[in-house]
Amino acid sequence: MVALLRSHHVRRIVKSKSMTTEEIGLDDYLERDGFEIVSTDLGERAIQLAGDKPAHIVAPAIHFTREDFARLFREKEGAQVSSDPEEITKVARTLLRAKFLRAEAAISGANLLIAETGTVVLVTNEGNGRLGPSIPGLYISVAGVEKIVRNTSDASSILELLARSATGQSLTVYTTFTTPPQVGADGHRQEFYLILIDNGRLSATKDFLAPALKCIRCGACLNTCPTFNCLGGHVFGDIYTGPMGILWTSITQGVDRANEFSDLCISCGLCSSVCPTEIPLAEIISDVKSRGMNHRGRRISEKLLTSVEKLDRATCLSPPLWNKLSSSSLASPVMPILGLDRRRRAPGVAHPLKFLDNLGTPDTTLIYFSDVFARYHNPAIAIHAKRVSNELGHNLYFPTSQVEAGMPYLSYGMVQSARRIAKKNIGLLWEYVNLGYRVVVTEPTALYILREVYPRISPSKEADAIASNSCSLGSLVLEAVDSGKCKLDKPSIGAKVFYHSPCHARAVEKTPYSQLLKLSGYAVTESDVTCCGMGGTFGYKKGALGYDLSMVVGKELFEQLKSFGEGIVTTDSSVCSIQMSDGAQKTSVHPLQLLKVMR
Amino acid sequence: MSHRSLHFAEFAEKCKELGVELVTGKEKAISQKLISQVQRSEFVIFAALPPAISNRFFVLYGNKCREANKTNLSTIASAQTCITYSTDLIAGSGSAVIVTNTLEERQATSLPPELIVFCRNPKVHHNVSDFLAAGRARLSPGSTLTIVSGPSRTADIEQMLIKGVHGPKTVSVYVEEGAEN
Repeated sequence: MVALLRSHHVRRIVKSKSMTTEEIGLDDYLERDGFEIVSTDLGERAIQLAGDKPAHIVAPAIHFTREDFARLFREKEGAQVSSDPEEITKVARTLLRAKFLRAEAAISGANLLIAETGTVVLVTNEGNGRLGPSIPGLYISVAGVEKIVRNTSDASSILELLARSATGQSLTVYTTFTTPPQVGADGHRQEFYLILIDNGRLSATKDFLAPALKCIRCGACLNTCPTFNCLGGHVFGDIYTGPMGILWTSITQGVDRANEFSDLCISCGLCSSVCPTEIPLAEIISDVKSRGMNHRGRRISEKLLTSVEKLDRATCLSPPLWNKLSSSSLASPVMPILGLDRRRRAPGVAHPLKFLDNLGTPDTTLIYFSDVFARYHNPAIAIHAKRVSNELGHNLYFPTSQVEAGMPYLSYGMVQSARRIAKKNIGLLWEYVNLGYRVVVTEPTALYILREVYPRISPSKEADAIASNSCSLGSLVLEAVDSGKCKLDKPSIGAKVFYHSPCHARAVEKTPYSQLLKLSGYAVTESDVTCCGMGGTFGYKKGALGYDLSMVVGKELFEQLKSFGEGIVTTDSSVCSIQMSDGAQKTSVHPLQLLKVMR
Repeated sequence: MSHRSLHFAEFAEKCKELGVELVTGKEKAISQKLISQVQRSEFVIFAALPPAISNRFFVLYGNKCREANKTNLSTIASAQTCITYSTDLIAGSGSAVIVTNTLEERQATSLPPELIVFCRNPKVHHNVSDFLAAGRARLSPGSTLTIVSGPSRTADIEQMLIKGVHGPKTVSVYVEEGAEN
């Protein structure tokens, strides 16, 4: 780049937004060599003036206030400007206009490169990507090799997805297709260079990171990620931030660098559910964590939290003894030794679930996949699941040889162990699904695992069949109500309900419970908070990367709960229920407990 | 309603949403509208406008009009208004497709604060995919094809939407209907 710019006697350069040039540290490098390189995107210009780095791939200066913007333009550019955003924008237009007009070279990234025609496609809302390359005699586009598409029709679907997922627009303001070389009216040709960056991309095509190359940099995963929204990109990421940042840091800087912040992923799965190109982010992140685990070994808290079912089996031998121990004053000093937070309590246990309804025909019986909570800690969930199933006209059969669903193994990157569990449950459930039975769950995480995780970590036709024949018991009820086969009874007491929809429920199906509660006649307040912060067992861990972070993420939900006042609190996830109890001192029940089905 | 008029209704709706002024009419009305815009503006640059249209203005208002390809960067940068031409509109995103063949035409459609897009019996496409599939996007060397969807904008400051950053602050689309091509 330096040789190229020098040979064209360039000193002043304008650049439009490009993550790829951030990735290779181009600005610093060129500045050290005496070039003036001006970022022309408003947010990136503020970042540049502050000597900071972007916090978000679409909104780089999302962490700056209007006062920060105004102060930067006043102090660094000597501008007279108030903190009114309209005025700041006007001043920035004037200041940057001068830079555009005297630039000797323009550098841009590329959203797409069309192979068939040799076209650079650039989308911008501000217009800098269209203006910059229209003025100087030299234009350089820097792009990752994954940006190459075959033809315009491949390009068109990506462009629409990009705008919709990035900013909710039907199309970005400027979609510019530049086919070099551009010429002046007098016939002089602008020189054009395309610089393609590999930096780990080609080797990623051959490993588990390959799906990440479909990333179109829309930022939807960042916007939905509960921990990213609390912490921002400076903590959660490097050049690339948030969920996609874990993947792209792995590609461009290696998994070790990514694992310095991959713990901030609490495995809620929302990123995978919003990705417009269907990258299974949550699962790839588990793989990244798993590689980190191989390096450093497992922490004591991780060993413990991935042994929940073994512990449950042991403690269930005498629930009164364990419950007394875990709630005694002796328990809280022990928690930190185990890597857990002393402000949490180990959940109480009950005699394990052992009801066995009759296994009738597929028409009359549902297969229950319980996961650990309903089985060992809160049998009330299972009892109500059985009641509601019976009211629907079904038996609920509980195959006792099933094991835990296995989410903690994925959260802590133990993909091999998760795969062993997957095989065991798939083998068991397939026997029933193969005969035409449907599998129902009460725990949203269990459904998330059956639908999204098992087919990926243990791919087989059996896993796929189980995935497509599993649903929450709630959606089965809703299906029956919708088809007119049954009705919901009006509750006699406690008509006011607060419902929190768990992240894993959102990640796999539209949650049925909010609608069911409304149809039952409850006055439902549904929280718009996407995540309670618990992250499965994440919030059990001690310190900043555990309990503290889980409480920060959950803050808004706790405030909503506190202002809800008298009424019933309900959520279908057991860990959300623990979090709401610890964070807002509200006891909650499973929504099935509030439903009564009439045939 | 025909497909075209359905798409056009959607285009009009989208323009409203984006804050794009849309004017439709017969040749005379649109011509009047353009003249009044040239009269009002301090300085006008024409970019990629068919000569038959721009020539009329040079006769009447030669002192405050220039053809982008016959002037220089500083003149273009000082203009208040750019009038350009489009043959294709995209309904779903309220966009006009602008093709420029020189750097000066690209500058002229980027720099002035006001952009007026003139169209004569344009083809109205449902969405970008339809437009690209129709084979009307000629990506030939030297050309720049831009799909413009409303005024230049940013949300970089506290996610507040502000119009007019590096490109035009206002965009108008004048559609002349019923004329012979």
